[in-house]
Amino acid sequence: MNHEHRIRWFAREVLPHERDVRRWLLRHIRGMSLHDLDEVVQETYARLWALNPEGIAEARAYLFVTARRVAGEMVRRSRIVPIETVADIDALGAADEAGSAEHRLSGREEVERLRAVVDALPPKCREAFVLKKFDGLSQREIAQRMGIAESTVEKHLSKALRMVMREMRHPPASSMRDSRKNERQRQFH
Amino acid sequence: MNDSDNSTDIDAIAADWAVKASARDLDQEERARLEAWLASDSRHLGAYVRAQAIWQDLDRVAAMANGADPKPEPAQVHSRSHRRPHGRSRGRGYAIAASVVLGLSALAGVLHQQFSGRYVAGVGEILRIALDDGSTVMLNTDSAIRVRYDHGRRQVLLDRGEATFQVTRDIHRPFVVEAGKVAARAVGTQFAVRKLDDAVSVTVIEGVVEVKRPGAARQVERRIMRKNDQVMVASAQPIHETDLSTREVAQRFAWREGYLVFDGERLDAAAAEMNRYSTVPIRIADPALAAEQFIGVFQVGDARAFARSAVTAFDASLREESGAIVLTRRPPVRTE
Repeated sequence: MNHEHRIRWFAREVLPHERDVRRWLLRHIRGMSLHDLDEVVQETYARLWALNPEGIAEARAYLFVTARRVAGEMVRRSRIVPIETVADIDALGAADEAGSAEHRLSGREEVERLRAVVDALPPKCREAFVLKKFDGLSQREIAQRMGIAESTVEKHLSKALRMVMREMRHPPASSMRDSRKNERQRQFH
Repeated sequence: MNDSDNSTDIDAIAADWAVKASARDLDQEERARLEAWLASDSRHLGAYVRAQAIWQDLDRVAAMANGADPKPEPAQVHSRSHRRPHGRSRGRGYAIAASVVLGLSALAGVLHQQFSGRYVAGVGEILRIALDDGSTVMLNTDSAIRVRYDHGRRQVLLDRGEATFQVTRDIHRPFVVEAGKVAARAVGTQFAVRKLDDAVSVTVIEGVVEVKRPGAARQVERRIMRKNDQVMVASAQPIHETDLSTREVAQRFAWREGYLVFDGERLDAAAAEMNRYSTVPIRIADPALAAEQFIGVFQVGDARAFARSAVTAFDASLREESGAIVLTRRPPVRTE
């Protein structure tokens, strides 16, 4: 698989489960901050990338197992203070969890979330992003239309992407919100 | 892992690179910087992969949003500039979508008098064919065309399946697509023709197209079609016209970008559409389930993703049976 195909594979097979993995880690490893979680996710993606994704049939299970392993390593290095022991973390059934209900966003939810991110962008940034992703213009065309440098267009687009990346940290369905809140309270008491 | 830089900064840098690398080839100096950055910490690589995947996946979500109402409006862009998802954005879509991209213009120039080329797309294939006048054909799954250009006219025979035509304007040489007894004629425009078992449908994506067929009493029946018009021509039936919305047209031709978009179609109809692209058919074994309204966007040919999504949406169950994916209702029925 070439680079492009592998990225597409990640978009299709891994991204839809990222929210579930984050939620699961937050629930089971108390004391884990959002930054810790981001680190785990980054490291997990790097390890999945190093494998040959084509050969992975059950991407969701792999994602869970890898994320658990990465989190376990972090705990061992005392980067975070676990309430559960390391042994407990190893015992967590990541593969079992992966097999449980998926909270995949529906198309509508995805669109709504993207729309919320777009609405919250600063005006110039939003304009560049909409021209790029909704109208399919090239960076050069956007630069011409907006009367700004291409490098500035790239800055706007990069900011928009960052906002979307950040949005992905939020839990999936609205029903999840309550349990998350409880977890967070537990976490800080 | 490196303690010194925090994950938010890493994401910011990863986003910068993902945007740059998606739009153009990096120059040597940039490539060296990117590689050094990636090599310095495995988290950098992970963040970069993730940023690229999210950036790419935005095309899919944006395609869905473009199909929904209302579209997100940029603060300072006239809505008019927005209304061209068929022109510019398709060009980009081609690059992403076509599983096989052919540049056949050199071949097409060789034999002028006869049908200079026959192009066939297999099941699951989408071909982009560049014709030597600058027009392009997107040939959908399981479809075949023959092309003949001469001084007076540009002729394409649709032997089977479906194709869309982006026609370069040439008032001296009309562009005519024939499918069975139906002919669609254009000067410079974009339209789609699909040959079904006993009918032909023509849809105008941009511009004006004239459709004609031999009528009953020696005369030729003609229709002038405009943007978003669709006609269905079945033998011995009156020509049936439908007005589509821009949104519906965008959805129906999302296959050119490698996606199929469903927005409330019956599940069985959606499955039939998926099945056009796949050698692993999806069957819906339950009539009530078949009538459910389905929403989703899938990559052409990804029958399993479709099936999984239907399972999640309708609490159905899935089994594989003699080369097919069978969906059934799982009792008890969950109400949402």
